[in-house]
Amino acid sequence: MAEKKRAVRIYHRNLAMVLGLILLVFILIPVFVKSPYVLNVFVLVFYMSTLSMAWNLLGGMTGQNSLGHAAYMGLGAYACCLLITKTGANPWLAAIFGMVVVGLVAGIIFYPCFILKGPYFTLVSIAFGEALRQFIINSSFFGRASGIGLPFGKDSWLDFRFGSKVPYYYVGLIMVLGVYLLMKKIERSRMGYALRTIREDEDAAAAIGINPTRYKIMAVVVSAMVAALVGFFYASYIRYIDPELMVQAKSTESVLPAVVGGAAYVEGPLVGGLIMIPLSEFLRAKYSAILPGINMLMYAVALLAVIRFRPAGILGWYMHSNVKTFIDTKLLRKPSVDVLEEVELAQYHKEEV
Amino acid sequence: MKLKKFLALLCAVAMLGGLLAACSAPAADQSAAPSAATEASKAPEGGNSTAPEGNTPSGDPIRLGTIYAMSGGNAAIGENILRGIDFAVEEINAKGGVDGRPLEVVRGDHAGDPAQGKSEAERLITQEHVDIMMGCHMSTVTEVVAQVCQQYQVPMITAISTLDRLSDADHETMDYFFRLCPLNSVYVKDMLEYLKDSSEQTGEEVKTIAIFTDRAAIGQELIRCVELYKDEYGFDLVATIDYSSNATDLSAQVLALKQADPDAILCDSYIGDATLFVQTLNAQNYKPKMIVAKANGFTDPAFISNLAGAANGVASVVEFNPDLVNGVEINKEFNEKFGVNMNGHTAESYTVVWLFKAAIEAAGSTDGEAVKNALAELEIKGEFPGGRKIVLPYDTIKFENYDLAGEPHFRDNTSASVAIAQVQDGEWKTVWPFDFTDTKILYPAPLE
Repeated sequence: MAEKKRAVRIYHRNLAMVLGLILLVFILIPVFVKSPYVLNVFVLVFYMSTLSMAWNLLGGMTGQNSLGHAAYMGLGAYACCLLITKTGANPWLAAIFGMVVVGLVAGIIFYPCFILKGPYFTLVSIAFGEALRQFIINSSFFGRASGIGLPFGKDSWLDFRFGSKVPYYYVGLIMVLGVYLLMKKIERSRMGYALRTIREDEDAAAAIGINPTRYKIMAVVVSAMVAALVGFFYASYIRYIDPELMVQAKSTESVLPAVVGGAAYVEGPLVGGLIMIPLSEFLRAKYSAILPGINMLMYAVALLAVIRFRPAGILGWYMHSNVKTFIDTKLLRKPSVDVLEEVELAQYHKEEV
Repeated sequence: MKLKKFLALLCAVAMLGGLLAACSAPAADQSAAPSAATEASKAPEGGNSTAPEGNTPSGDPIRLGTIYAMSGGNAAIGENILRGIDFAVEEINAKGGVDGRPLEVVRGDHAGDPAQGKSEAERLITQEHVDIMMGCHMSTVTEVVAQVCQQYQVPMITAISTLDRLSDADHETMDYFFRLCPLNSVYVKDMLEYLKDSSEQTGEEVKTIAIFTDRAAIGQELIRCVELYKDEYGFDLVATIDYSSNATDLSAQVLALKQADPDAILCDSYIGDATLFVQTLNAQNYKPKMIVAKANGFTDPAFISNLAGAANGVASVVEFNPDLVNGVEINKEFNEKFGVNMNGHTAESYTVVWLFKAAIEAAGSTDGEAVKNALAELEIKGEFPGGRKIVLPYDTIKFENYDLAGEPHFRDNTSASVAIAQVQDGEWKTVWPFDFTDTKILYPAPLE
């Protein structure tokens, strides 16, 4: 038994080391990479991946394919910007305000919509996004179609405003990590199991005492709040927002990292974002003068290819690939599942006693 | 279950359709673009008929960054702008370049998205090391790109962003950003000026006006500006009629206009609505004596072809028209090269490249601060040194700080104004300012 415990300890240590190493690389990137453009691409990866994780909670974990996440993000950005420009509030407080507002709006609007299932829900989410955009375009309080700019000024942490990319990089990194840990926590919680049960079979879930509506509302609210957080980050970074932020194509863009990375996994959007966004930027930088729109075309082709050949995404492939087996056994020295379970069970019994 | 799968597939197809629509628009023009770019930037030909000097520029190229939509729904507009830039660059390089150095264009694509505009601006400045920047054709993107240029101290001129706000008090300190084109309020002011002047030719004074426009941003700007100036010109605004973009029926709106019966209608619409509007006027047998549009859909090439004769008599603001006194010659050469006429965007972008040349030569270097200072001091009267007469409907270019309708504005070309053209015999003919044309106003508009 002691032998087995040791093996598990070594595995956990190796796993922590590898993850720590990856994190260290990300922390050190701004120290070595001085090009603002490259840092800008990373910032893009961070906020798009976060938005995609927000989508993934609803689309991947709960099986409710939303195509309205740009609207949550846009509404969050609008709530923050309006509060900052109209009352002079601190941006960090405005972020919390934006998240609460968007959470409430999403919860209230979608409460009656959850009798709809599958594609019908998707259609409602599209309609919701467009309705919200039209509302903003027609409301002078929201600045109509001409958008809102955030005030310029000196670098300041209090106002979350910088000329350099580095602070945005680190705040983005913290945001993406924070949201990842939150999603991981949800996945392993009662809520996570409930959501997955609902995804597989809603009627069965209801039959075993899970209240589907309640959990779906929770998922929508959390997802919308994370999207609003991304909206706040976007507004602070670009410092200008307009209703175009909420168009349908943006919602679709938020789905892509998750679908390409593997929508069934919490890490899916991260992997998809890290691959797709730099690739898209690279293609645009390299070929936009020759073939404008090639990056969008590539997005479409990648999506088609993934849906056709790897419906479970890159991670879905990786989880059953020899690469993973190799890394697990040689690099991490992962013990067999039986051993892992035995040790975990022993641990559990010990705590019981 | 089958239905579910089918609907899911339908959703996926719709998603893809949206994405593809965003990149399919420029497909037709793609083949022409790269050849023009390399031709213009890399190998200036000495054989241009207007270039007697003919000395080939040498040394490090001066890099001009451009950020326009080359993909997405606005790619056609970007294409027209880039043609004007390529045309000017080729002309300048054929005449010996800028201070003996060739100009080179580095293109960025903002696809209509401010975030992408920011990203491209950073790439062009920090990776491609452009010396000067031009952009963009959507004011919202221009706003973001101008901030990046300010941060890296790269002088930027916008040829066509008309939103008033870009040069207002909030932008006072953005001293690397200049604007050539008129502001929205100048467009509308010129429309009203035209109505006032028109009595000279029509013999009837305009007293009452009505607005017919889109509820989107373009329409809001029109309404705002008309409200701002109508009293100054003594016009009585008798009706403001608006509708949602891409309308399927405008009868109610046209009936409301008919009832108000104004002497002139001011309008701004996208192409589909503009066409439907004139068709509905016809169907209701309502013939307003004057219709003046604020460009957009009305000056779209499809407007005249959609309506055949029914468009006759509709007038619109134009930044440039091939029949302008100083535009005939350049348009001929341009048309020979690209097979299309110059439009307002093309002419304005063309002019900005020449402005940069003049400023860099005045500054004696491409240092951002020096060029910025030279631009602030620059004054072009009549014609560019070593180049053509100003092809736009005004004869001075100078960036100044000034007050417009009681608000301070900064670094705008205060002489900028627009011309008014009218559809006559199926063609846009310039009718105002009277000094720039011999064509007379067709009054009342026949609309048939």
